[in-house]
Amino acid sequence: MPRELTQNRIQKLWIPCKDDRASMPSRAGDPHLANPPTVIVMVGLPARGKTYISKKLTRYLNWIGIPTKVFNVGEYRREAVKQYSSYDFFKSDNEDAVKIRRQCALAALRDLKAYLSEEGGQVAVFDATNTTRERRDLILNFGMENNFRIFFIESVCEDPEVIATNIMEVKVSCPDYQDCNKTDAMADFQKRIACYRQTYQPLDPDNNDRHLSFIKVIDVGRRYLVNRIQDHIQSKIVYYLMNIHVQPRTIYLCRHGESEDNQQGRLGGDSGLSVRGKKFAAALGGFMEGQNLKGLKVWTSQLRRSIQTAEAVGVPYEQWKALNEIDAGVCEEMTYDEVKEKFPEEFALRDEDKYYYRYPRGESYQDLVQRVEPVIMELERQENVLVICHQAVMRGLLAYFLDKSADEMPYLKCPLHTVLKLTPVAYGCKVESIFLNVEAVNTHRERPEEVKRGPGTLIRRNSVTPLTSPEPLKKPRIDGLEESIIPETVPKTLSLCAAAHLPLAMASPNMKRCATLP
Amino acid sequence: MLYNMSSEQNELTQTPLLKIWVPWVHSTLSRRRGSSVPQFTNSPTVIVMVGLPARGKTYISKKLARYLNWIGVNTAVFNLGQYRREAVQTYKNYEFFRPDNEEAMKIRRNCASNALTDIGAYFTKEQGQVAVFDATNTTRERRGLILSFAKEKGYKVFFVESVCDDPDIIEQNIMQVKLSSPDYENCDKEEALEDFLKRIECYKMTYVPLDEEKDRHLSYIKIFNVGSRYLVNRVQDHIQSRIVYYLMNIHVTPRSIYLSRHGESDLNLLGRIGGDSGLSTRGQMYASALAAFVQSQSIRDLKVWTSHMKRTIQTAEALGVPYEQWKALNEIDAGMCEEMTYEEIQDHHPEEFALRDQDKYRYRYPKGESYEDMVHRLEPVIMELERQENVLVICHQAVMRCLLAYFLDKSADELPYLRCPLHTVLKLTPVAYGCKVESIFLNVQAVNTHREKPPNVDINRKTEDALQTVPEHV
Repeated sequence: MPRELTQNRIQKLWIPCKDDRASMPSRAGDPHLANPPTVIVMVGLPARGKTYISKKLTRYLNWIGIPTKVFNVGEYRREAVKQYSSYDFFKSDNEDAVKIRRQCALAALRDLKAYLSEEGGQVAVFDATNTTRERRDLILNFGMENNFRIFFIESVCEDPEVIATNIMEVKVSCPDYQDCNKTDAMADFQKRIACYRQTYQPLDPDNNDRHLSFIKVIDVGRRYLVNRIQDHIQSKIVYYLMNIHVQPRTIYLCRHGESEDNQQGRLGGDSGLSVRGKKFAAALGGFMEGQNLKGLKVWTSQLRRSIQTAEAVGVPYEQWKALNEIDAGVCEEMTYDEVKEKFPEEFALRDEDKYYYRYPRGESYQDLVQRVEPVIMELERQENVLVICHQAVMRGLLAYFLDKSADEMPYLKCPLHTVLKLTPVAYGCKVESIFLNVEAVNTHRERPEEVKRGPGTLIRRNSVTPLTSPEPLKKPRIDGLEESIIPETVPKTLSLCAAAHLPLAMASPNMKRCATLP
Repeated sequence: MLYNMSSEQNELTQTPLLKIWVPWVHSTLSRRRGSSVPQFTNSPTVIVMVGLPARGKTYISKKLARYLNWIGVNTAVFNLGQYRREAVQTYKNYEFFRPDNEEAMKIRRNCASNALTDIGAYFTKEQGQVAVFDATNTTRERRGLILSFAKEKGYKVFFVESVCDDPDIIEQNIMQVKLSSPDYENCDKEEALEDFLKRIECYKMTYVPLDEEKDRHLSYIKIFNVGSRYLVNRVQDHIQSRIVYYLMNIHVTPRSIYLSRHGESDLNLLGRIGGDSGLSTRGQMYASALAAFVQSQSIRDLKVWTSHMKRTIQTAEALGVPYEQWKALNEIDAGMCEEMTYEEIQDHHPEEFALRDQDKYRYRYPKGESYEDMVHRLEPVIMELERQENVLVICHQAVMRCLLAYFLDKSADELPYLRCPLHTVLKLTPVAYGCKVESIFLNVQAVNTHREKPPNVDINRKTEDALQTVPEHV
């Protein structure tokens, strides 16, 4: 006897009634939930983009609703060894340091395990060099014990220019070198790399590692070697990695010019631009020309207002149906007041949980993210792009670039007549907001204060729920170090550029002196 | 390139069939700048297969072409073996393929040139976007010839090399598709197998695989042992990226895909389209019958997928196994015509009704979708179906037509008229280069919801002409 179905009020998903005894699990919202957790293991010499890839991949996975977190062993090491002295710490014969580093890796794995087993994580990224077979075997055993799938991402690059650029972009400004000048930092870091190189055993697809699942990214994406993809998530990860690039470029996000519906406070619809909206379109054309971009692509939705806006920019544009505004279903073309009057319950439910709330016969922000995902993938492939879209869509895209959670997404500020200029920088994205000086109505509704927040509505593991990439642990516990050698060997006032005497364990006789100490 | 603000400048008009906004014809902007379909690439692409015989090149060529055509990229396969069979009417034996057989080499080279000429014609005269050159292409010389040809014409080249040294796989390939080829129609299996293995040996003598070093400037994917490993070099553009993703998701493990619609719904009975109604009594009977059918098939590790609409979920509930809901499997959105009967549509929107009959694939309901829109929204479902093994998809009429068109390689014109009756399961099993279909009616009566294209599709047609093919309902 089939179970009775009821439609849950916020997401409008059909689920079996709760009072039914025969409870077979049904997973509404998004498929592929049955898989075991995955540990992504980065592999590669320093300055090969491992942390860049880790962070970017994590941001993407969280945005599409797969809870993911990075565990960066370097941070654990900085916690354990308060002051970085020099590259000597990384010498393979520095036994004390080797012990500390191992403990850090184990601590990171311990936290990783907790994340996947107890905290609802689905994917964990183990960001470290993992350049020896020994270390990777340790991780493989760890995976086997805990029933985690292991997927390696190895970044191989021998282009000296790329490496030097990486070091300048993210290494010289890292905490390890905060008291150093750039040249010294660069020199020390190069020596650090040399330490690792001595014991580096790359993944070997022909023999030793032929049964492992991995992707080797060679020369920043010129070539890839993909071995034994096991499941959907690994396939998506590979696809994503093969589409991202590091060429400098800029993404411009803006909404269509003010529309006639906007002026009346109506949602959705397909109206044309108001007089002010047309002014904005012209201003946008002027602004984009002033940006002097090479090869700009312009994308719009298939709604009139965004196309009218693009027409004024004066370059060929492509229409994407996927960029259409969120479908407000039965509420299309109503004002908020009309919605409140005709559908008071719906109005209240939306405020209760704006991300998951699906308009009757319409969409939710959650649906929007799924629909817009191919646009994100193509944005990653492209270089300079101007996307002329709509409020909810722009919030969805912005949440991806700025790593905002599902909770924040529906309340991101995306006002009319304002261009957001996004430039990738280091591990993230710089945003500049440029108001083009044409007045428009405000269409932003703040999160109402007095709303009773629903009990975390049906947040299923892996339903399409962007989560902000979790903050790395500020103070990772590193067990097993208490009894060890640290107190004697970590010099308190030491830094790379210290003038003081250096305990043998941490320093080399040829320390270069440089800038002053704190 | 600043534009003057003329009142005409932002005038747009919406094309009646596709519902796409385009600049108004009389405006100063006479050249249509907008494209309603994202551009995958800006030059034609030649996909060049590489590999010894029986490595799955034709299998990959056909499957890839089927996928690309389905997502709207005009693709054709040019199989050199067919050109050779045209030129040399009767195949004698493997000696034709010996590298020292001068006369044969001349013929084979001619065939290759002819194929390349045809590829050129396909691009320039038939709006082809991708051509798959299905041949062994195992020598540097042959590949060099193709690269020069492409360079001269401004085509992009992407190589797909299949490398396999597993003798079991190779033998299986030969048994599946080679022994039944026209070359061996008068041979017994043993003889054919032996000859074919000698044929492979001929090619092996001169086979130079794509080289990591020497060919590092080429764009290619090397597939090892039916997908256990891939080497991807220099993906140039979107279409190549999609091709790589597709190739990395397909597999050859035997499995079956079951397609079915939800059981008959209350709205079905009334002849109304769309909506989100529940199952009728007969629909519920179908759900039970489906459960019994699935049981009887003893399917290993069956996955069950439904849409987000009540009627498919109710159907799945009867199966008593876990199922996954995909919004992408929802029925086509009929926009303003949701929950109307065809009679009502004719009554309220006769012009729309006629336009739909004129081009049912591209026609978009006002504030709704077209079949073309649905194909794009179903693409992730197809990709995941390729990854999976045994799956039962419980969906809707238009959705099922789109999925079926993918599996059976049906054109955009045929797609909207494929027959997907209620209460009938279609069992699809991959076989050789295609798909075997079995249609199983589960013996529970239901209304017919299939509307054929009427003879008169003119906008000004009479009501009875418009309603001529509407199926009966309450």
